[in-house]
Amino acid sequence: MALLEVENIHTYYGKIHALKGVSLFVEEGEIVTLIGGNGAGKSTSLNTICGIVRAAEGRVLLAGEDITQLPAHTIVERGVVQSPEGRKIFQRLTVMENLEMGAYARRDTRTIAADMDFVFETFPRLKERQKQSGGTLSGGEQQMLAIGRALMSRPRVLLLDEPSMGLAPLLVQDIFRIVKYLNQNGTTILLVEQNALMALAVAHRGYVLQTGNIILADDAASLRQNEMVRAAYLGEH
Amino acid sequence: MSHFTQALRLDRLDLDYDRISGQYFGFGAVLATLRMLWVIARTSELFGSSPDAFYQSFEDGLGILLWAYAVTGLVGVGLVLVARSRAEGTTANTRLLINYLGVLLFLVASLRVVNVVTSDPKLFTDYWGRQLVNGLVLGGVYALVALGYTLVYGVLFMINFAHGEVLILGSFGGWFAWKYVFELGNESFEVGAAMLSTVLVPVLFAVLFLPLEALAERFNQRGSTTAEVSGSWGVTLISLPLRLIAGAIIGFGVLKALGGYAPHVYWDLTTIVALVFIVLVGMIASMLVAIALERIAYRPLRGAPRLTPLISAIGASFFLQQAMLNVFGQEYSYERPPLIDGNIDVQIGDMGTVPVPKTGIIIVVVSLAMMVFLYLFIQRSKTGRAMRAVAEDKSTAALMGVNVDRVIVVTFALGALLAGAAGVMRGFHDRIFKYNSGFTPGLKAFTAAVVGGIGSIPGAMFGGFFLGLVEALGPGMLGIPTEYKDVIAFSLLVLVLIFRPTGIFGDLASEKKV
Ligand SMILES: Nc1ncnc2c1ncn2[C@@H]1O[C@H](COP(=O)(O)OP(=O)(O)O)[C@@H](O)[C@H]1O
Ligand SMILES: [Mg+2]
Repeated sequence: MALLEVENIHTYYGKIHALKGVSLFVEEGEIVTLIGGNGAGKSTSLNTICGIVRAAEGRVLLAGEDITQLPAHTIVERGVVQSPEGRKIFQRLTVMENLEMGAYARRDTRTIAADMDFVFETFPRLKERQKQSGGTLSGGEQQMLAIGRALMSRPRVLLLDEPSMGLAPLLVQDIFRIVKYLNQNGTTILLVEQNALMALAVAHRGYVLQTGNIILADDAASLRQNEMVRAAYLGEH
Repeated sequence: MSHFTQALRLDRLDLDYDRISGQYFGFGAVLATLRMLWVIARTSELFGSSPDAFYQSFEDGLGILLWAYAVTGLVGVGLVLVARSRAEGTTANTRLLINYLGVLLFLVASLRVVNVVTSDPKLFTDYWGRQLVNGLVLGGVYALVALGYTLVYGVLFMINFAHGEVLILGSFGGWFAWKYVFELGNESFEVGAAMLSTVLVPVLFAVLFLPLEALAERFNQRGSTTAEVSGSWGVTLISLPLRLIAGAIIGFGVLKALGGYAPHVYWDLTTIVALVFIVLVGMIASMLVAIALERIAYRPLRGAPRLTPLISAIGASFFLQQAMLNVFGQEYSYERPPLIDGNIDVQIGDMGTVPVPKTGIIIVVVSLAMMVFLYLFIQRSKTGRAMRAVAEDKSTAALMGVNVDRVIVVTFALGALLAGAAGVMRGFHDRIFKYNSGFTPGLKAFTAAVVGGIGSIPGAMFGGFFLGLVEALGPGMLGIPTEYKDVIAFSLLVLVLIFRPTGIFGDLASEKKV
């Protein structure tokens, strides 16, 4: 049984049919990437999994348990945590407080300090800036904070929505290295990206989403060789 | 065109007139304040009796400077007005003109204060001192109520116009508790208080004897998969009843011992216990109403356009007023127990004494303490942090596992607790209240919140005290009848909205979301 399983979900924004029957799964310990162009429905997929928007049809299963109808904050308590598109740092909270917000849903308060250390080890820049307010960080630092914040909740599945968006090429490499590192440390990751080249380089498997439909599903290496993917998403003709 | 006339063309110069005039006016205000304080200090004989010639000339010098300042200001403003009316149109000029008039008003007020004080030093104790005390007391109430507006606005961007009714329901809740104690002691509050204390004090001690730390820890661990169950937990469970009984006995013993050996302390203490009980009942009454209000009148409209919950709030306000009129009838009155009745005379130098009502002291001290507590709660506690996160971004807060609905309820509850406390304390201070006595203070506190910067907590505290002081001291300073104090208060609102729409402590971030 896969850790996270999405079965044929349909999601609407009013009359807009944003997801037209999306199915995917993520095994424990995997990095799975969901690629696709702008407006394909990637963010909508993640938000439906998290309960921020509601599926009109279909199910989301976590370790076999149906979580489709749970309120968003309960889904977080179950261990499905998203680092949203555009980072969404709390600008007026300090770096430390942002990280503490990440740990909000945790009950085992005793292990929080250790995880904080892990985040600061992974992102030394955050440690230097822990008393600064989130709004004063640079784009790259904010992305690190967004990932660190998500890690503080000790996710069973980490959903990353375009972590490389708007970052300088060097920082993009850093972010993907960190994604890989987190996965090697045992975090299961569903990675949404427009930067298909980089995403397929770190992922085990991938799905291609187009206007609300999954049009391709394969392991990352094969997707990278796929003619259609190369033409549409890797910028080759 | 000659060099000279070109220099006079002010619109050609690249100057920031608003900034310059702001500094200029600020300087004038400081000067006027200095002179006012100087004259008050001198004539009140705080520095000894006979002023020598040097002091006198210093004062005259300041006076001449002020007049020169007013005149040059007038000329300067005139020049800028003429020069700029062609280049930039009239809005900037209106601002400048109102700025200048504002400062003139302040100058006149300061001159008047000086005149009044010099004409009769006694006036300080007989008028200004008392008004100052009134202002602080009013300010304490306004600040507590304003915090409720600002908290709710901070997370929901809506004005809870029924908050004044929440305040007065606190007065009602407290009144029924007071009546209960009063009747418990057969028309003697103190006897009733003593009887109530024989129950409450042992219960309080019993609770304090519980292992609260361990219980809290246990609560935090619930539902966790990794936490190991604390080994001593079984022992703690067995000891619970023992602890309860021991605590109750000790509490009872302390009370009895006090009654036997220090009867004065005993009576004062039991009165205080009963008063705290009454305030708590009022706070809880307000809180329950606010929670119901949120659930029934606001939550169903969460996704609706901004105007909708506002209309719902006004409807709720009318509904609550009419409901209170029908259920409770016309007028109620608190009677103060002797412990908090009367004044404390405060000696001011050798000018005489200013009577300070004991209830006034309680209002100022308790409201300040509650504000400190609120501030710490918002800044330091986990729930406070979640409140700030929800205020900034609800869906991201939900992604962190925050139950946004629950945080919103907590916000309403917090604001209502403060309003409830204000309602009871104000009840004891003014004694008389009725179903609609929440309306005006509600509106004033809203004004205070806007003046301070709605959404800002320090702003609400500052705005509350500021408005209280302006209302109490303003009429005297401007030499107009006290009946116009409301006009002054709301004019202040208009002025702030013109010049600083975000209020004194407001920031742009909260404006952006509007
Ligand atoms: N809040 C919303 N309201 C209405 N339509 C939306 C909303 N969010 C997304 N959409 C629409 O749903 C589709 C999928 O969007 P999204 O999931 O954000 O795409 P992606 O993340 O792949 O760029 C788009 O057509 C978009 O316009
Ligand atoms: Mg997206």
